Amino acid sequence: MNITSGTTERLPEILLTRISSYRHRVFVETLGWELQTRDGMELDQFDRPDTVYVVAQDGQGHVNGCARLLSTDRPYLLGEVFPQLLNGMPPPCTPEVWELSRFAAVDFNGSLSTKGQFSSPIAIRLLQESIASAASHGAKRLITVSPLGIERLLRRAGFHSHRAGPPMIIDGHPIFACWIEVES
Amino acid sequence: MKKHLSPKSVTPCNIPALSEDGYVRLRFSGLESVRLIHLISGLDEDPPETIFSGAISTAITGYTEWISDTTPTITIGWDWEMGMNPIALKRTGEPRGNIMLADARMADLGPTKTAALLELFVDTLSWQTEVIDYIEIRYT
Repeated sequence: MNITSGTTERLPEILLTRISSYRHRVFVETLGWELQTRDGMELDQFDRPDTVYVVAQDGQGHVNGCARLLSTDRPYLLGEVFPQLLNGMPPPCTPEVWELSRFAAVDFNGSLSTKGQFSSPIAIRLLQESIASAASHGAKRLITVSPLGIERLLRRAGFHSHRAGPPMIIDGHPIFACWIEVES
Repeated sequence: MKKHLSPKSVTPCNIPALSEDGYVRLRFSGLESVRLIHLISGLDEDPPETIFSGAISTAITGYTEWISDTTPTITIGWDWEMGMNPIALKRTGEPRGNIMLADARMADLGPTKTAALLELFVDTLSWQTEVIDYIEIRYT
């Protein structure tokens, strides 16, 4: 497994296309989320030139995991769309807090299904690399909007995390905001 | 004796303000005075690896989520495993939430001690019947 990270401006265009196609396959086709799509790609207003991506690829170059990182001093998903998940606290706005979103580790070419996407070795490695990448950009903490399953992954990967507020039920599934500490 | 959970009523108590780091800080005695409301329970969509380490799943597992009716809201959830004959639920693993327990001087007990005390707290609650009823309705 190879993991690459970088901003939109730095990553090859072909890889960015593969990431957005992979996201479409995971979040729209498989999980049924209603998201903005275009030509089989899933992209939204937070996919900008300064957005940092972390992408996992198998030996054949197929994407089998991805994550998106945004500094909270620019517009980001939780602050713009889900501030109600913060239990009344104002959304963070500092380059020391980065948001982790669009985290997926579904290996369509392997044996794992979406049901294993929060417990696979790919998921653990991708999470570790995502947090390390955010730290390299100055993050001291991360915040994420995710399904509850990511809590198990965070614990399994050895990260200290806690909820920012109670889960909300969307389409029958609980999602929540979670703080992740970047260990020095 | 197990503490009864009421789905509708909440004991008024002094919940401290939400800390900047997102934790609700309170003493264990304060936590004991909080009544929790069931939010959602479900079967695992992402089973713990250990359950599927063999070729066949050997247990039904799931999660349950509870919240307080206070401001700020306390959230706590935990995983469970279902035993058969008779049907019974047993908590597995550490509870998860936004609670940081504090000592008498309101100094943090830290994540490890907090997790251990939350396990004790959850195990004093009588949550199983409500979760089984909810699961039956949700999945039938």
